[in-house]
Amino acid sequence: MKNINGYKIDKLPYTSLNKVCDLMYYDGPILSHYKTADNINIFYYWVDRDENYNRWLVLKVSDDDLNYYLKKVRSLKELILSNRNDYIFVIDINQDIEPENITMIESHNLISEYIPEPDSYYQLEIPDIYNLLLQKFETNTYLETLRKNAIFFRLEPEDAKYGATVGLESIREFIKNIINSYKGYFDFDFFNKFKKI
Amino acid sequence: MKFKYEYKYKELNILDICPPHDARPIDMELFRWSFNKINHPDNFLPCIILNPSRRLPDDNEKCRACALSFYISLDAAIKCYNNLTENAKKKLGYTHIATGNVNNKDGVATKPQKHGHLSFHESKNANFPEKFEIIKSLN
Repeated sequence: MKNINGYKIDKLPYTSLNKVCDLMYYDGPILSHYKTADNINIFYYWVDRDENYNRWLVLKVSDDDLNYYLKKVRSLKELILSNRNDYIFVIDINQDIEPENITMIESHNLISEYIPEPDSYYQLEIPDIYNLLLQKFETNTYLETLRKNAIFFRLEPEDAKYGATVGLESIREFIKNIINSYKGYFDFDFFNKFKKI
Repeated sequence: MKFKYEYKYKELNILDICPPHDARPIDMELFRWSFNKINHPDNFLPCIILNPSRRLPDDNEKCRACALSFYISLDAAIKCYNNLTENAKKKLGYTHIATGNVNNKDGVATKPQKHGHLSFHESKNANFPEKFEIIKSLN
């Protein structure tokens, strides 16, 4: 087994793990997704073995990274080396299925053999168990798009009699004027573009 | 049905949950990554024999470690292999895909996952090296 330069610690900081899904599997797990009781995503990624141990990288994965990994936008390499994972853990599971040699390591100090390729994207259909997560991000994407393309107006009353309160009647008038303004702009724009035809 | 690794179920204290209650006998063509030649001694050995500690400290994994992975189509077998990192491919060492017809006397299978993988618990008399043949290189 390759030597790892890092800080030896007694135990992993993650407890009460519940299995969510295996993202790579053959006769046994290769890349497994767990969740802590606090809903933190933890990936176990199998990287090495010898006659006594199987070695795993253990890393925290944000919902955002998980979403983009499943959607083939971010690679496993990016997840391992991402800023959120300044430290990851290397553990050796012994024959009694107990963790030993728990080492905390800065992700950029990992030996290159343990770092996946740049194109280590998830390539399979997304398991149904992630439907809720995907929905959450789809809603977020829609809202983000609306916000990104929105035009913001600041309404203030002319009269300070009622403080910053703007009456409904005034808001109605304002929106009506905005609509008229847009219509006028579209008419002008259309006329300008097609006046030579 | 008697199972090939029943002694392991006993040893691991999982007789009541293994094979899983929803696993069923099947009659279909299955695909599996393998070494070349088909009678390579490691070709049909589950993890619990080949590398018993390649599992995580989670009781539910004990039963799956006694089963073999198969795919329900060649396409699924290739796609899932391509989903691995190069390091994982190297550590597993498989070089080919084998296929064979499995029948209801060979054991029980879990329901295939969305991407076509299932876990198969062999019956005592199953003899996969006789039923399977290498059909394709993985490289």
